Amino acid sequence: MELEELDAGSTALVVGSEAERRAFCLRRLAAAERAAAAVLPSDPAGTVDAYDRAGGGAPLTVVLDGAAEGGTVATDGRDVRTVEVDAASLPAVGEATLGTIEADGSTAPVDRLWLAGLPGLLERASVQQVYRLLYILSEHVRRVDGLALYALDRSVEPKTARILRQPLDYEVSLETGADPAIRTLPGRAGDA
Amino acid sequence: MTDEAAQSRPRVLVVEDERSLADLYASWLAERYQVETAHDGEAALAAYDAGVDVVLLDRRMPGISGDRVLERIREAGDDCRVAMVSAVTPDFDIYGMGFDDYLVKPVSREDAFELVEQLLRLDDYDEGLRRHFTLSSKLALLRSHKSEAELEGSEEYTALRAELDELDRELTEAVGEMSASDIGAVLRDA
Repeated sequence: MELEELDAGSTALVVGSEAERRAFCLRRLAAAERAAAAVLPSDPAGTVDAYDRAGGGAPLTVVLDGAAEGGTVATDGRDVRTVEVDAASLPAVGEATLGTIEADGSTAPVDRLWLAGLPGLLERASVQQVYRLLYILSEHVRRVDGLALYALDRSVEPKTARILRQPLDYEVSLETGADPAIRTLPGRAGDA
Repeated sequence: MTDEAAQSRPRVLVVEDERSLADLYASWLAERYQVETAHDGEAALAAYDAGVDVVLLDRRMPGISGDRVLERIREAGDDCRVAMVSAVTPDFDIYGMGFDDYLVKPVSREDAFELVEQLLRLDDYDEGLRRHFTLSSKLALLRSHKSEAELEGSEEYTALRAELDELDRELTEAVGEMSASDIGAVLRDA
């Protein structure tokens, strides 16, 4: 499968080292046509810079989850909006992220979403809470023909990873020096 | 309406210290729900049980406050939906409060129905998402322990998949229309 095939109304779990996940997801985020959103646990300013360097031209919203460090993002001359989540809680992250995806008339609907802090969310919430978050966000992203990328650490428990794959369309495995390996996940209705 | 039909309607508990206001809300909502009223915190806790689906809760009341009643309901661990209906404009003190929604008075008849319907819908979402997670967990478990051939030959596996597909179809539209506040509520419940 080609990487571009991920683009039409799909959702993917991206598994690899932090650096690999970040590079891959930023590249896909920068391809947004309407608007992009990144949900980050840290380094918002560095992410905005990297988004620019990757050629991101669409407006970017950064959702800083409750555990975020360095919450200030320099926005001089760039179309960047930040949403700070008051609490280090999954419901607050979910509300802020969905609020960002939904167009409110003043912003374009988000067609690229990168949830970077999945490993951190799994430390602070139950697997069922995280599953619900991915399921709900994925349905919203599919409705706008967008792309959602959920980045996951290799060290996550296999059982947890198996469950979180269920509502998603693809899994992207990243290995240093190799092309991304993309496989269709069997959990979605109508698939194998 | 038969007694049985009336009994099957969702139960709403209106907690409001202004009796005329409590009666007004109750008269509206009684068209569709079983409605009980309580005029202070003590009466609210006495009237509350696990069968109550929705509580509309005033914040400022003599004796036990609405905020404390909310805490006690949450401590009980039931799935009940609670909306604060108050003249108190929400401030930062709402952080950490376990309500599902918040309405600032005055409340119209339309507001009241919309609020209760919204809260009952959250229950449907909650039940559907819980079932979805359970089915997905079972399928993930089977996929990790069985070969493709074994899975394809299993009636139980096929039935699980069919059930998940059906649930997916039911949930997709509703979930796709969920608002940001809805997602907060269903994530808190998981």
